[in-house]
Amino acid sequence: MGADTGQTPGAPGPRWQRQSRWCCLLAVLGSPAAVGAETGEASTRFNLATHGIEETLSTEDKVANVRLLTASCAACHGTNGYSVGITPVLAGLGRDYFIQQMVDFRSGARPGTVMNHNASAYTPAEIAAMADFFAALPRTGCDR
Amino acid sequence: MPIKRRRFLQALSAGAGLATLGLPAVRAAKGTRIVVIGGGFGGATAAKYLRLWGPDLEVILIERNRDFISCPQSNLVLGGSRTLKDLTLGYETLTARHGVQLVHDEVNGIDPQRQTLALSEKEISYDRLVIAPGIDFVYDGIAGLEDPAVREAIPHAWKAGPQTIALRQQLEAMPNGGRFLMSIPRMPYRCPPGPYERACQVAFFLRYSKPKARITVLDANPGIVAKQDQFLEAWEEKYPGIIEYHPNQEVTAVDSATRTVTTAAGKFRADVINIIPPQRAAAIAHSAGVVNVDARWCDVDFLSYESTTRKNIHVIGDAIASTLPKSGHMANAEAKVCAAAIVAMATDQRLVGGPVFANTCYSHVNASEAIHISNVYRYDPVSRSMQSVHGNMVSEQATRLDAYYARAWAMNIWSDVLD
Ligand SMILES: Cc1cc2nc3c(=O)[nH]c(=O)nc-3n(C[C@H](O)[C@H](O)[C@H](O)COP(=O)(O)OP(=O)(O)OC[C@H]3O[C@@H](n4cnc5c(N)ncnc54)[C@H](O)[C@@H]3O)c2cc1C
Repeated sequence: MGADTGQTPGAPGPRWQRQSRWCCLLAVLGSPAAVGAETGEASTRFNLATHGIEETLSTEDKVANVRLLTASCAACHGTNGYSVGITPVLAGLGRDYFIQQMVDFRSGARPGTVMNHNASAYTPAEIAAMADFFAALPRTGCDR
Repeated sequence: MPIKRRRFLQALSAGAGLATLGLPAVRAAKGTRIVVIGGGFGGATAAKYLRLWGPDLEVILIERNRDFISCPQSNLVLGGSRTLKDLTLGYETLTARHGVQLVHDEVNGIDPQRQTLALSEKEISYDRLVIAPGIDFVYDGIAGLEDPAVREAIPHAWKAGPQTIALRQQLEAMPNGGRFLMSIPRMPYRCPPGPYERACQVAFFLRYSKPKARITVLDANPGIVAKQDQFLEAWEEKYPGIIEYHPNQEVTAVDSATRTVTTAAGKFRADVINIIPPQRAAAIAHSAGVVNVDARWCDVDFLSYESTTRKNIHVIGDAIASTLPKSGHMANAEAKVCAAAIVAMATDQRLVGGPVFANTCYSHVNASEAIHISNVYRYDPVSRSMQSVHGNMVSEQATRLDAYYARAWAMNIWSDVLD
């Protein structure tokens, strides 16, 4: 998602660059000050920006993309993340928790099946945006 | 032409130009009518998400069948751990919850100039059309199969429904010590791992109820096209000596009287025969004039799934030509990209960047274990196609956990398509 991440789609950039971005995301999560500040969209932007991840989207652009991005989760996790099977409900998951799971799936710290592979295909900015999307939904109910 | 419609068409034809203008968001012109042909994995998803994301759009879904019958998990009906009833779902919620207008009818023709469709007894007009008709079978190359009676006697069971039951009944009636033969067409075809899963499921059934029976698999491809090591391991460990696999065997003739199948290598006899024929985009795509790859498949723009030959007509699902596998999961994902693009066009909004989506496919090796393959695709502006981000990942071996997740996948995707 070109403007979304500052990366060229299909050409994710050198490996070191991608890794350093991930280190940054971890650093954001790991730092108490940052965690305390992570309550809304503004802080998302702030944290990602200060850690070298470009955030150039306007709100509408972001919504259009994130809606489509998260819609891909639905095949396994239900429409808008309201799973009707044993796969976790994503709707209403805390933002930090969601990001931590993706980071841990990616590193292998959290063992899994499909998600270890899939988590590592998304950019930090995409994951943060997905986290915001699901965190904004009520945990229960069926807001399809 | 009514003003509203003209404005809509102008907006649509402006296409990419709008993106740079960055026009303020407006609501879709009331009465903008999107017609979707085919209520399978692709079409039903498109109809639902068009209404979710574009509540002002009028969305009409035309499907010939009253029920939705899922191909995914239908091999388990052959194995005996699922019934067809478990896989049969209704369309009611699409209307009740999402306001999709369901029309159960056959689309017999499309007039792209007049923007109309011919149904069995009436005509219906559209502002924009989505075609999600799935596949038809190509019988030309297989002597014997041109006869419809033979096609009944030798079911493909590659569209879940009565043929799935017919094949299961033939397997039940097969003598212990009998032989089941199945053939796999050359790629691309619907559900690449599906035939190998089918071999597992038939072996699972025979292993317990007719232990002396054997299976012949004739594959037109040079080898197992997906999850090769995992399938071979399952065949060896769970069904030793039961499955005989022959690569590079293209079926050229079938004789239903003598129950014989012919390939370049010779003749194979069996008691129950299952030919999975070569495939192409279903007939209605041909009459729409959107089939432009190998006279079989439809080339599309992967940002919107609009046909590259006909503006205003989108194609999704198994009917397209693509590096993406022909799976229900992909049809579901493509439908959402298509819906998002249509909603953006209809509301003069812009979509930034290209889509990213995942595909996971589970294959069941028996009643309780499965193998998954997983892949994430990202739009590549250079090749203008969807490309795998970092290759696929396959389970090391079949596991019980994957079978649990397979069930969850099915429940969630059915719900995502229809609820
Ligand atoms: C045995 C088997 C197992 C499979 N397992 C899996 C799996 O585990 N996971 C997975 O992701 N995929 C699986 N698939 C593949 C999956 O079923 C297809 O990829 C998927 O159905 C494609 O969706 P579609 O919308 O393109 O076509 P379809 O789902 O076939 O839908 C097309 C619809 O259009 C309707 N239609 C066509 N023409 C007309 C017309 N002229 N008028 C009115 N209606 C029309 C048809 O009736 C049909 O309902 C499997 C397939 C098989 C055969």
